[in-house]
Amino acid sequence: MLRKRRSSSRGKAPARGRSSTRSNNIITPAEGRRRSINTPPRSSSRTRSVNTPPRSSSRTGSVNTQFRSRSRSVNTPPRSSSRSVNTPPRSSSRSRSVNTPPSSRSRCVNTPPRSSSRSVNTPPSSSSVNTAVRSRRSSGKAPVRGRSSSVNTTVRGRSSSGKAPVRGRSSSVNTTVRGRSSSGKAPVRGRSSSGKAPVRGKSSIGKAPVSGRSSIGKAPVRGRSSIGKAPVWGRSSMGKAPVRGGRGRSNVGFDEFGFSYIKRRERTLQHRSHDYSYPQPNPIKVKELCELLSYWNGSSFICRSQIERFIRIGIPPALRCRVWKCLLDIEKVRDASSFNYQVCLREIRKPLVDLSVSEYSIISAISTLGERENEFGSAAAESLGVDVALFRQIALDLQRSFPTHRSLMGDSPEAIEGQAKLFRVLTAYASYNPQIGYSQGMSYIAAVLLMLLGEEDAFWALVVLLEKPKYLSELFDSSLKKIQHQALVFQQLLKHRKPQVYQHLENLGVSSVHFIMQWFLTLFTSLPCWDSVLAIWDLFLLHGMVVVFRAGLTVLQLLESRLMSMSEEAAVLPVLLHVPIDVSQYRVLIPALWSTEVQEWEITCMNRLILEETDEGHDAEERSRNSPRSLSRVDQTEHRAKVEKNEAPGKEAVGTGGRNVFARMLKAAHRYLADVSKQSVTKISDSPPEAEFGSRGSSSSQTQRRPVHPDWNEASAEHQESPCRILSPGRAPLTEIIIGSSSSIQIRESQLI
Amino acid sequence: SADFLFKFLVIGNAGTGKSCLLHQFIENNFKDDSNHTIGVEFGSKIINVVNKFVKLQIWDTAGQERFRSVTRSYYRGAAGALLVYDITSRETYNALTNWLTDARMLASQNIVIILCGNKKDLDADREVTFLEASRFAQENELMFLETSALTGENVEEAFVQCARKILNKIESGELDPERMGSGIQYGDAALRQLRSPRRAQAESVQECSC
Repeated sequence: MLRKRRSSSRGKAPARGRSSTRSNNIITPAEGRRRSINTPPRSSSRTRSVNTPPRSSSRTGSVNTQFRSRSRSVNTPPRSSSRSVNTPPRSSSRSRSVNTPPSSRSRCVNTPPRSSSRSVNTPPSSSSVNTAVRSRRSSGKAPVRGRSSSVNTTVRGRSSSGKAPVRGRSSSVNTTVRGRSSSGKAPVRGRSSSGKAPVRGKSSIGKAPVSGRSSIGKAPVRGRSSIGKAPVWGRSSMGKAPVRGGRGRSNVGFDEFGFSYIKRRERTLQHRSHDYSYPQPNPIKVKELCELLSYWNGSSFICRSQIERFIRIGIPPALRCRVWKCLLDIEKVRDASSFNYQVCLREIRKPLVDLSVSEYSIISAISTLGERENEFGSAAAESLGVDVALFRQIALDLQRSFPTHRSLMGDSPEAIEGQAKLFRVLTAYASYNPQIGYSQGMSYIAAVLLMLLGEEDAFWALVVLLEKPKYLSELFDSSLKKIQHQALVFQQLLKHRKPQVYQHLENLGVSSVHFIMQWFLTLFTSLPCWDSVLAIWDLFLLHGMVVVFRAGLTVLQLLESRLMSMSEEAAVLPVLLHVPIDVSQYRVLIPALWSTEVQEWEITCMNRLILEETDEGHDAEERSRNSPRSLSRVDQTEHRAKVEKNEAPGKEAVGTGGRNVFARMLKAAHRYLADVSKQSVTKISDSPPEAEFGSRGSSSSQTQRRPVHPDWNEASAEHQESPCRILSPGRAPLTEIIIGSSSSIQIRESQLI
Repeated sequence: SADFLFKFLVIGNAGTGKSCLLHQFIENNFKDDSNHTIGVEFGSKIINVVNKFVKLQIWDTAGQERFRSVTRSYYRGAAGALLVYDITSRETYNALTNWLTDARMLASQNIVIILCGNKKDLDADREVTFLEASRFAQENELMFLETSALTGENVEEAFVQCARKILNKIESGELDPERMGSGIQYGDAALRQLRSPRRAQAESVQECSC
């Protein structure tokens, strides 16, 4: 029966004939023992064999690699009893599994009848060579993929096209073979035990870098056979199936946003939730949104209020890339800047070559950079014109930013490319703005951008995010002062909005800086529900920093009852640092986010208060306890009593001039309005700031490329409002009304300043 | 139900495995897909040391240089610290002096520091020898262990030894838990039975290399 099935399967994969013309032949002698992995992706209509002796029909590429690591022979006689390839049928695909003895042409096909799992499960001790083949005839591409936990390889194919990439990987040998018959690329990757012995070779096919790594002591036993037990992944309603991949785990798949599923056993440790609850986009709305994007004008109030409406409904994932590009005005920024990303990369490449480091082999890059750093010392490294420590730090963090996302996880070709991209974007930013360089946290932001945008767009998006005062400017500077300041501002906000929570946290000794750093510096990417993260980002890109405060406040509001019932710091902090799934779910968090209003001027006023207090050396807490805002928010009587109680000491503390808090709040508000009205005046008369955005740094020298906007430079961030801030809907009417009556205030304030 | 509550700090350069050590200690397994820490991470666990239940509150800090200014605010009130370096990276070892200076300056006088040479499993790539590091530890009056967050070797020991030394100090009267900023509190159980003035035994010191 098996045989019969197989032959029928052969007959149904005709398009693989193309790839049969090429094959890779990788022979790896290691420590006396010889391992040969021959992967002829000649997935002709008849067969594909992943492990065949060197005398196989491969004609073209042959890569010989010396491995330092101990290795295991890949060519082993098959024992059909040990094989268990479990490939469940999916609606669109036919699944088959083929058991391929390396030395012979005969194969057995094993198709488990109606299993619900898609995993390839093989007993790790098995020495057989199993090849699961799936073919999809309906689609136009024919990738053939292989992976194995010991020597097992899954080959996946979709017939009827000229493309036939082949992938193979194993946890013990970690060999990935990807061949694309059309392009002729066949990179083979792995890691050596030290991670230092990447060998690259060029075969006659095209590219075939090979490196090796044996997983020392790590080799997790994975892929126990669990036929019919594998969890059903993915939201079937989304119509998207999880894709296989990952780091040698046979049970790894990816969800629609590219985060890996981890085996059930490890679920308790799992950080990401895969249960997404974002709303399904309405086709009519999608069409409307597309239309809006086609005539998008970033400085138009109408466009911005329109897009806010769409963000509220929920941006469809497919359109997010375009929306972000529009919101960030990447094109404009790039065109206006004299900084050239490609040129910059070329400049960076030189020192990298000098250091003999490649972003494509991050593990070895880290150790090489470490060695170089020791050899040269910091002084000598500077003479090279590069910061070795910077490169090393970036390299260190690549695999530690979203370690479960497919674009960065493990050592699949996709991840290696993803890590290389992230490395390039971050090093390019470091040379764009050498004063800030690289700070931990940036890699999360850049990685999110890279998930949605192309490499160069992601770079410019990162520039906008890290340079515009509206977003995160100065937050990552070398002293990290601003973020600590922001933590105080948030604390004030919390005090006014949620006094009980504030007081409770205060009593337990939980400082806001503990969780604010993580929330703000990574822009909530630590939340377990990715659809919520993206929704927060959508709004953040529209309104800027105020959204981060808003989101932070929302999370605390949702956690309020839970936090209030906790009686110690040790219980509170983990909840805040790892916001639970039930709170961060889209259907919970995002509606709450929309119903939580935080106004620009609120943040600005508190900013001023904190600044004044730190300037005058007063205790920040005493002040705002007297703030009039709290009266409107909380139980009036209770607070009046508090205010009265604190009135006297507060006044004593102020001392200088005896100004009361209300007067200062008013002054701060006035100042803000003055700024706003000034800006609206300049906006009308001058060219929009976006045009000037990238105009600095026209000289090619790196030091002069210090990318500070002329406008952004002269005043602190909170003074500097980009026009879009003012135009943001919701608060526009309010400000307009006040601006109308504030011309006299403006004069007074300018005199004051 | 703990007798004492100690505040611990994990410090050291980026990429030395601080978070993995903490994770290994708390969860007893290796986290191979770990994020890099922004700001601070937090963990707590109750351990039994010399018939006393001690609750450890562990603050795991970010390693990058620029986060140092934030890390500094955590020193206050820490009873113990794990100073971590990576045995396969001399650079992280060279930075120890800076970390020590910070700790000595900002933490309480009696802070107990244990030096951890992490990634012991990567012996083939070792750049810092055991002898060299233990000499450094002796010179600076630190306890010393080589640990492996991957295999779990010596991870629990590092925390336990540090806690034991603090307990010894309390028992010998060198440390006063009631003093502010000591990083030590009495747990509920300890309030019931007042501390027993047992003689400080040198057993913990025998096990570590100093």
